[in-house]
Amino acid sequence: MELIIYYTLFAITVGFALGVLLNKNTVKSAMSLVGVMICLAANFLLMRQEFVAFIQIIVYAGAIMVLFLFVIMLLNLRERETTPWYLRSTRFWGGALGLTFFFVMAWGLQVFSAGTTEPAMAAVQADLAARNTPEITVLSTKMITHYIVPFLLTSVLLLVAVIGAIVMARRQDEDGNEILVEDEVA
Amino acid sequence: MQFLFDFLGQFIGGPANAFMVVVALIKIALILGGILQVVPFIILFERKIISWVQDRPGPNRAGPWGVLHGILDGAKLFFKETITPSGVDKSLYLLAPVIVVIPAFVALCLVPVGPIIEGSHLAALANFFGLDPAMVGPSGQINRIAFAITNPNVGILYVLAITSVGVYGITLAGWASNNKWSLLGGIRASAQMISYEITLSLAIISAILLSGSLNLYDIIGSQTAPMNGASVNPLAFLHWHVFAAPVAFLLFIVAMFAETNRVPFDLAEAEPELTGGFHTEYSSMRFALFFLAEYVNMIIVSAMCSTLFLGGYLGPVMLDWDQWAQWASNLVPPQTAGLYPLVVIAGYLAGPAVIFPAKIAFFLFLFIFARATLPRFRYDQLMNLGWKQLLPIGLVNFVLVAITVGIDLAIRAGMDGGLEANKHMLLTSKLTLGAVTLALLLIYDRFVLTRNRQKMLASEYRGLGARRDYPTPFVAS
Repeated sequence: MELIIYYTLFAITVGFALGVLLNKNTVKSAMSLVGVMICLAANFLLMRQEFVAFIQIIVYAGAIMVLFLFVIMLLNLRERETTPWYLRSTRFWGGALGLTFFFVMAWGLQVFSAGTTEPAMAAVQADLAARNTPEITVLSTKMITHYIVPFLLTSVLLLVAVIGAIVMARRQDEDGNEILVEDEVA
Repeated sequence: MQFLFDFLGQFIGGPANAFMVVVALIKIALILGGILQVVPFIILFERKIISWVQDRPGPNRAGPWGVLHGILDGAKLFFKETITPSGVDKSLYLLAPVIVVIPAFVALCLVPVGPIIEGSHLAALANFFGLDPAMVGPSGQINRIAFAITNPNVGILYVLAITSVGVYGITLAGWASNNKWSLLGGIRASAQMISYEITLSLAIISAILLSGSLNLYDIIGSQTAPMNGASVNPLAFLHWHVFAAPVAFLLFIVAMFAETNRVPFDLAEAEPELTGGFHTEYSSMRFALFFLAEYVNMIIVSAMCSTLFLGGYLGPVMLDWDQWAQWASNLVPPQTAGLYPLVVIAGYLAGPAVIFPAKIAFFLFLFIFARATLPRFRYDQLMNLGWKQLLPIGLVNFVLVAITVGIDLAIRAGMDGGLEANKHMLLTSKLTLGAVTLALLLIYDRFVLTRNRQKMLASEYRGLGARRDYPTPFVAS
């Protein structure tokens, strides 16, 4: 049963992924990407990782892709714009990079998953089920004990990005004084 | 009835599976059917309440007191011609209303309408319907039945995820219509919903912190008052999260108006500016789907607000129904002592049939009353409110709620006399901190926000043509 669902999901995911690449219309392309995100969330659900699945939808489908769509609509890319010289051979370089990425990922999976066999995964899941702790408890405990440094570093990185965005978006007049939104109303 | 499930179970792996499927279908029929029947009457009441505010009789032609207006409106939309304007992006244009409606109805599955039946009451229920105790019963395969279609572990995240997908429908409707006003409406809607989702999440996090779980039934369970063997607890409502986190409750209410695109945040469909906004180019049932989704979304956010902050299906006064049933069955002569199960059933049905609908009705009235009395925000005012005022309040409130929970945990860790002796202390600390948070908000509003508002009004006044140094009536300092 699970195998049937998995392969159906797999087919739908690949279909949406192809839709992202092959659609001429950028809005439809973005919507296909939303479909891919939701299919990935469904895959997480199939692995019984409810928390990760819904975070996937909230963050990627609910926030990031809406911003993508927002920008696409504001730019209103209907016509094909003239391509600059460094983007002339996109198809060749894109294809080459994509294939390289695919082989690196395949090789990595081969190497790193050599030790983990399916019984080992089953043992982990059985252990979790036996302890009867919700996955979110396990996740959060790991995150604020074992992985606290990467967690904090990521937050600092995000904070830097936010401050950078504010600095870039802030406008100044000729004397270097800040232009406030309040002064521009009406 | 056992033979029915035995028969069905041959096809789907056991009678327990068949029972679960049948019960789920009944729940879906009840909740979905109920909501679809209720929506026309909400629309009728909306028109009636607005007309009372404006001192006119309102709809009163179809049926006595105009009760048929909502239903006939639906029938009218059903029989109207479906127009697809030329120049629309056909596939996305047809997809948009569907994307709006489906998340709204999926989110309905999560709403915990009533209590979970388990223990001896489930055994009695199984006995009443003649079911095998090995299939349904305290130690059977199915040992609890909830008054909700599904009950996932991360219920509140599910609601957030599903409702955040609904914004695509509105945005795409605006884009696919090939109409610049529709596009503006769609873009406004997406920007607004992203901005206020943050405030909404911060308010929800406060409730999650207080209950320590993402499961909707656990959240309601953490607002249950202890009974200690008494037959009635008249102050049970003090355990609702609204008293421990009043600021989060207020933030949730503001954000829920914005999330459902209702007045004063209905910029996405501002009639005087955008001639209807994202649904301008939709007619007939396609328009009706947008309309339906808006009302279903209102019901969902109202249900979520009552679940998170007002104890969901819990009444303001807690009764121990078993004791009352015992008392009632002692009143009548022994030969007619059939009153006991009736009172227990009444106890189970009081939540889903009376208390929960009453709470939802309260919020729906709030939505309608706001529409009748408040003017629409301007776009920059909307963004200003969301990012510069609600977001900082939400962040500070989050820290204060975390302190409340920390004190709660400290009291629990340090108490010797058990939970019983310290329950008043636990409740008092929560209520005190809630009151302190509310007081801080009022002080902040009085001394900071009011001044900022006056400053902004003054600069707007200058923008109308007054000179920068001209004394304006709004300047405070």
